[in-house]
Amino acid sequence: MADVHILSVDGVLLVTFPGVTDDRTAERLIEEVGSRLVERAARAVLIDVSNARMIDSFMARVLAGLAGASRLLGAEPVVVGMRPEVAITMVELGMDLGGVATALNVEHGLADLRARAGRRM
Amino acid sequence: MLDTDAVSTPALLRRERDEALRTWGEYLNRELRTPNLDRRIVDEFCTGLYDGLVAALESGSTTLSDSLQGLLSALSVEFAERGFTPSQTATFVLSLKHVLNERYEHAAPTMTGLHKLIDAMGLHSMDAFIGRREQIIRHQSQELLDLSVPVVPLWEGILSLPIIGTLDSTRAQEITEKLLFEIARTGSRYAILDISGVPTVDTQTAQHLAKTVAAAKLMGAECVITGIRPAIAQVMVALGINLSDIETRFSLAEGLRYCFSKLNLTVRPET
Repeated sequence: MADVHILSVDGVLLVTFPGVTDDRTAERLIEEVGSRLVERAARAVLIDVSNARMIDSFMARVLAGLAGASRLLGAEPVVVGMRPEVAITMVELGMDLGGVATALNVEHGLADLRARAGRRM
Repeated sequence: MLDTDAVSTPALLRRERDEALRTWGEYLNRELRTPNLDRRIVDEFCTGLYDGLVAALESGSTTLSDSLQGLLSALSVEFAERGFTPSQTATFVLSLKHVLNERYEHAAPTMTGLHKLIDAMGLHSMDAFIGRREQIIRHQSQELLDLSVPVVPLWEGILSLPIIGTLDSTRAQEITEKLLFEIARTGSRYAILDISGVPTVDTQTAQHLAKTVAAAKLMGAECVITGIRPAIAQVMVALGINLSDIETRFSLAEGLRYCFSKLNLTVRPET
């Protein structure tokens, strides 16, 4: 898990998605995020994918799995920082994130979460 | 007597070179009406063509030599770039025939070889002229393609992209790339794709648009499509194109209003 970092800020978990992923890293990533979520009672997970210079179908599945697991644990997943070339490739290959919220960068992601939380209250 | 004339044609032309060139120059000056063409350039081309012609006659060949072809190409390129008409270019070369005809009217039947050569020169210059024109057109259409993807920031966080002209695969790809990189660079949350300049929308165009919107969504930006004309809306409905996942508005102003409302901005007249 060399390049996986999980930070907890203000009730939000910030996960850095690794540039390359294999089966074991992916499994441990999802596990780790799950336990941290429960531990911190986080209300949202920001998944930062700006490290990934390419996303293949496997990584897209991992990403969807991560988002799905977070949702099950009651935290709202937001994918942030996707590169333009990655977005183009994903669309060309017909992959999507299954309705997961997105944001341009961590800052926007946090602002969006705050806005949505404000509306709920 | 005619035979001797025929044999002596190159020699005759060579002897009267200066006189013939002067007449030709005057003729061109009178007929071409190209005030912005430098006299020296004209003279240079005339001299080169005349000498090349005489050399070709002397050698008895009926095809144009490489150097003569090169000179004709240079002439045509020069004329094409200066925006002269094809007939002006043709006149330049073919007028030599008139000039020589006037001078040697009595020996006209012996000049068949000469006529053939001058005709070949005229044809070659036409080919070169059109070739250069086509090159210019190709160059311009490429420039137009580069120019035709203007991504304009309308407001902080709102980009607009007026799409003008047919949206084929090449352009769609270019537009998508440009838009996504601008979104990343400016950190914009909203992009308004205005298609009022797109003449027709078919299933393929709609698919391109949907892909662009989906890619922008993956990056975290929302796209609004505006400028769908009633006629195009009808066609899209008839084709069964469904853009219901995408926010659409009638005009660019409506699209901007939508973005403002999402950003919690309001525009009010001053009281």
